[in-house]
Amino acid sequence: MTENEIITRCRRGDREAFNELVLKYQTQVFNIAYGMLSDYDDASDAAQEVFIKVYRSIASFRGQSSFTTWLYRICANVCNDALRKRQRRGVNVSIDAEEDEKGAAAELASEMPTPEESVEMSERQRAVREAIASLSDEYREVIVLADIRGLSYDETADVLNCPVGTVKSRLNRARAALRKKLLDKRELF
Amino acid sequence: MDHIEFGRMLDNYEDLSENDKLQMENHAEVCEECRRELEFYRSIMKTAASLPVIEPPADLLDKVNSRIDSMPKQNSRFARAAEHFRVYRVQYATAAACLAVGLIVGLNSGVIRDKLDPAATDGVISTTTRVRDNDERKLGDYELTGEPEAATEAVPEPTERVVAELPLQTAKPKKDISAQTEIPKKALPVQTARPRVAAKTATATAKPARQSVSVATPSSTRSAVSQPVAAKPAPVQTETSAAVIPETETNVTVVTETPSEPAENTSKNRYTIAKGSYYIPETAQANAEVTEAPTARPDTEIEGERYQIAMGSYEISEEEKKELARNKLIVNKSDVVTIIACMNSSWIKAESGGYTATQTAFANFLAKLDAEGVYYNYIQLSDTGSEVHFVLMAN
Repeated sequence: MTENEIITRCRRGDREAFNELVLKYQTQVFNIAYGMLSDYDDASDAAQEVFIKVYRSIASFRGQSSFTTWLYRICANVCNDALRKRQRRGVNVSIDAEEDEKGAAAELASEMPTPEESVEMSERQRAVREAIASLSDEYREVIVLADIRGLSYDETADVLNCPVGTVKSRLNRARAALRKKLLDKRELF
Repeated sequence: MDHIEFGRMLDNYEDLSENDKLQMENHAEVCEECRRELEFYRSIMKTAASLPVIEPPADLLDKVNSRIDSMPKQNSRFARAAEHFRVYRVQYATAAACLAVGLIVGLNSGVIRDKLDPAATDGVISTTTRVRDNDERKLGDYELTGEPEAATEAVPEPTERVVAELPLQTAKPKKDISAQTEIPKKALPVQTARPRVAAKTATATAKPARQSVSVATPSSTRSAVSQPVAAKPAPVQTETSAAVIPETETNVTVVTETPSEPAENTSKNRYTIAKGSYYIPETAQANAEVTEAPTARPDTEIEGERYQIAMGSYEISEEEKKELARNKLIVNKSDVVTIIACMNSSWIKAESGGYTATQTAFANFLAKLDAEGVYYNYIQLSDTGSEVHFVLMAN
């Protein structure tokens, strides 16, 4: 079944087609959410929320943008909502081990390896992941979409609903910030 | 090219022309420090693009399906709005109270009062009652408690008539409420107050499981806003209509007539309140039971819940509309970004203090909010014409 067929059936309320849609995109959605939220459980909740919203509103999806752009936009909105809620609660989530030791997110640490910890990552990859997680929400969002997910400027602009020029300038600032975050670990690169 | 220039270009590396990149390459060949910086940057970008994919939870699909199965059936925008109001009723009650307090302050300061013709107001008295029951009951199931007692001297004895659905119907022959209506299943506390403003129509936002009925009582005198008066309307006559009340929103018009009033004045004393629109706090309900006119409004009374002067259908003059008639689109603060995005693509232009859209654009806008799953509440003015004016209010 092609993507268009799946979407068409989903718009008619076909649950089987919707399940297929979830299975097809859950990894992408989850990884965007994880990139933005830096927490496995939060990313899982966000991914659920994204697909709930998709289920509720896919009937009105008219294909003016690509489905993935629409999906990622919902994902970005859900993650931003989660970040705002987290900010209101004063929760500090960090995958940075040093910050954990400082106690900021110690309560989130678990002795059991988390799913993301079970993934083999090189020191370099872990350093980049941590540096991205420590960026501001705005920078992290654009880095996740453009540099990790590999969206083009136009696609990123569509997802974020802002001009391409804004994406470019924001992305340049975000990359510069990321580079500075990693200066003290440059021996890994 | 020096290190500073190289670093500046590195910050914009992806946007550089091929020629600029070539210049950087040439410089990096002869400058060890800059070469390391360039390699460092490239390595970061390469690593970011190749971060390992993390598998989502195996039960993600099951959880999504479980949540969908547990979702209430939301067949319409109104149903979603009703659910939203159920969740956020306290916030809306607070917002309504603030709105009414602001309005009253304005009235007291003479901003709006001067625009109202005191002679035309007839000293309307608003009486609010609360029904503790579910939405499935028809209006006819509700009954007014409160023994028909003598009103204060300042208030003529009203004859109350309850009519379901608009338009207002003509008066029915008087009947004793105790004889006409069945024994109430649940008591209906009655509040009586006198608004300073001669409100003609008020609409409150919908909330499930609660119903409010507003009673307008013409009076020859005007007193302080929302000051409870001594007695319940007496003798109260109630006519119940068998008309079916819409599922999600019901307009209830209650008109109390004073026999001595000219018939043409009746239409001015009409209040329209959405079914289950708002609730009255327990303290305010207790106040409704008072049998003697207090000298001052009780502190526990919340003005906004008494009047609920919503922008939606409160019939106000053209002059008042300039002050008040902006419709209000009430949304969650967390959804503002999404909403603004929808607005931009719906050709809605910002104006001073609000937004303007054509009816079509606004309908499309609401459809987009639906598509985004955004919760909102909106009560439209009845006479907005070809354009819709509204104010975005974020909770």
